[in-house]
Amino acid sequence: MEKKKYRSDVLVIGGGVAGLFAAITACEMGKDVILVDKAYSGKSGASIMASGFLAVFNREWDMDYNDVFDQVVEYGENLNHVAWLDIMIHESWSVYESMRDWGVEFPCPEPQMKDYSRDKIRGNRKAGRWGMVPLKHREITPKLRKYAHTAGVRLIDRVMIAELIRQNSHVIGAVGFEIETGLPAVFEAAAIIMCAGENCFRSPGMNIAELTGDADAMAYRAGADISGKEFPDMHMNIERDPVWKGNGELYPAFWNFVDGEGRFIPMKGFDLAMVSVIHAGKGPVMWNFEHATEEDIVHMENYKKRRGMPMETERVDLGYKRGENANVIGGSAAGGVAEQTAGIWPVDLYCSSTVPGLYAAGDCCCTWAWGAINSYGPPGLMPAGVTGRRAARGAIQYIEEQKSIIQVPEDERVKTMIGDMQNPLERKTGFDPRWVCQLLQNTMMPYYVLHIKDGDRLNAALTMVTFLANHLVPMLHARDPHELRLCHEVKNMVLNAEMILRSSLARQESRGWHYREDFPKQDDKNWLAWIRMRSSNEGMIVKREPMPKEFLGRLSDSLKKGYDKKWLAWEQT
Amino acid sequence: MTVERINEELCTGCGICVNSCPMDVLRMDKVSRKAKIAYPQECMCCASCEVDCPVGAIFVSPKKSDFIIVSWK
Repeated sequence: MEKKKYRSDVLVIGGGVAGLFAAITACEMGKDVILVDKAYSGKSGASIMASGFLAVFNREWDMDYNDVFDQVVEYGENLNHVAWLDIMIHESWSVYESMRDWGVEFPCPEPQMKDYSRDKIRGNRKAGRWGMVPLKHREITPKLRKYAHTAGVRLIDRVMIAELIRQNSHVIGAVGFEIETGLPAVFEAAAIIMCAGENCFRSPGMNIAELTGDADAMAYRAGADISGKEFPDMHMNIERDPVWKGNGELYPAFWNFVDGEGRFIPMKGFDLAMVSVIHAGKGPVMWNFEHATEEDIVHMENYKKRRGMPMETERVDLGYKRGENANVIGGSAAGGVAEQTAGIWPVDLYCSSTVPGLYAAGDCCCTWAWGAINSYGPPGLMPAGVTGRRAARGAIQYIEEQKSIIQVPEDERVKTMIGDMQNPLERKTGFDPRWVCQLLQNTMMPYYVLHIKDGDRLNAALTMVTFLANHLVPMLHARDPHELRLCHEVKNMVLNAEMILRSSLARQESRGWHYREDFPKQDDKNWLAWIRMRSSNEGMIVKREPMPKEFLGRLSDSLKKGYDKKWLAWEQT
Repeated sequence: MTVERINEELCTGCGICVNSCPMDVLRMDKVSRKAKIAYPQECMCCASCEVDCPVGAIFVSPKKSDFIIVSWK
């Protein structure tokens, strides 16, 4: 069988900020590194879409450590991994410094605290205690790619990794295929760092449709523990152009959202509040400019210019004119799983998964630093840099501890893996992966499944998802390698859906983004705990992992009174 | 439509747009050696190709329309 073979010390899967940081770090520590991406490293995933800010902590900016820490724990509703949070705060500034040293340009050459316009966030003075370094759009990852190339990282683009190869419980390589030719590729590596991002179900309004949970799915199938899947994410769009999401970065510049009855919706818990308003029939939610001043509009324009906003913002009239309102919708961009609060469970502070040789960084590394909610925590770039660098250090230490490098054997097992991977191409007829994706969207994305949850509805969705997994996924059909990629993506999304539903069913309480109509109270007695999931011969094992006792003392007292807001609070006011 | 047109006269065949598209919508045409819209169904309207095109040959419409999807093929 014709195939390509690659060999390296470290294989990094995914070429966003996490992958590039991991690859550059490992390379600078003297290792031979391959970075593989199903599209093109530096131009794919969530990182290239990043705009707005890089969150940093800098004592010289008159910032208070406890202030930042407490805010994150408050927003994370006490489900935070405080050791990881300490790391994020301490190492955030070095992510900025590395980017700058590696050639990334920033709009403010010497950023200062005043560059962050937090004074404009109405009704929530507590948001934004982080220092924020403004970014240029489409600047970071292309520059990091260039630097990685110069540093000696071998970049392999347009190859999709489908499965990890395991031997004696260690991960020793991966199989994939070229998306243009369909040619199989076998990668042999002493350690693998998974940086392939989060999962969202190709929401029509989410312009990052390649985030199909490949990382979590591949790691799960290789035996790794996965966590945090019960916390979903959603981005809001504007009704008149639901496909274009570029307005998101402008919201903080003028935070004034009201429901159909004119009530102000604060920033904290906004996404769930917005869904609740619609559920209660009290929509629409509007971005309200009725009382905007001339100064507010000028501020937004300046904000846009200085930040280097995404092109969508230039193209589409977002309607921020004085006296006019823009209807906000959530449905077109639903389906995500909160970045950095869903993914591969790290067993230590160097991003090791439960499978020896497998590491995770970026959005697919579930550090729990941000707790039960990601909204208004720092955007994912900084944590991607922190975890990328740590994962590389962890992987290198692992490699150095190994007595011998295990090679991928030329045996039947690898041949079978390649055969299984190519199966949709061999099949003469079968289900269209686009259709299965559409069915999955219709099952998972409605707000009453993913956001306002209930045991009966979750079980109903699980029945359907299990059917997709058992009956449709094994009969996916690909006409060409492009469609083969779609087949593997939809297979991974279906597995992610099952993880989301099972962990949502297990968490019998409400907290952060996870709201259960049948368990509306926060339950600190049982659920100051994380959920870990693992594959077994009997199917998916869902396990409760209580938070370490030493963490409890650092949590927020103000939250101990329980879940007291959002849906229920909304009904009563 | 999604990615609506690539102006063949302007296109220099540099291939930047093919790498800019995370969804594998664009491919190089082996005969004309210019970029072509190969899989518009997967276009997510991110407009990366349009922004990165050095000669302004690509136009992405913000109005996404749905494609008819068949179940079995």
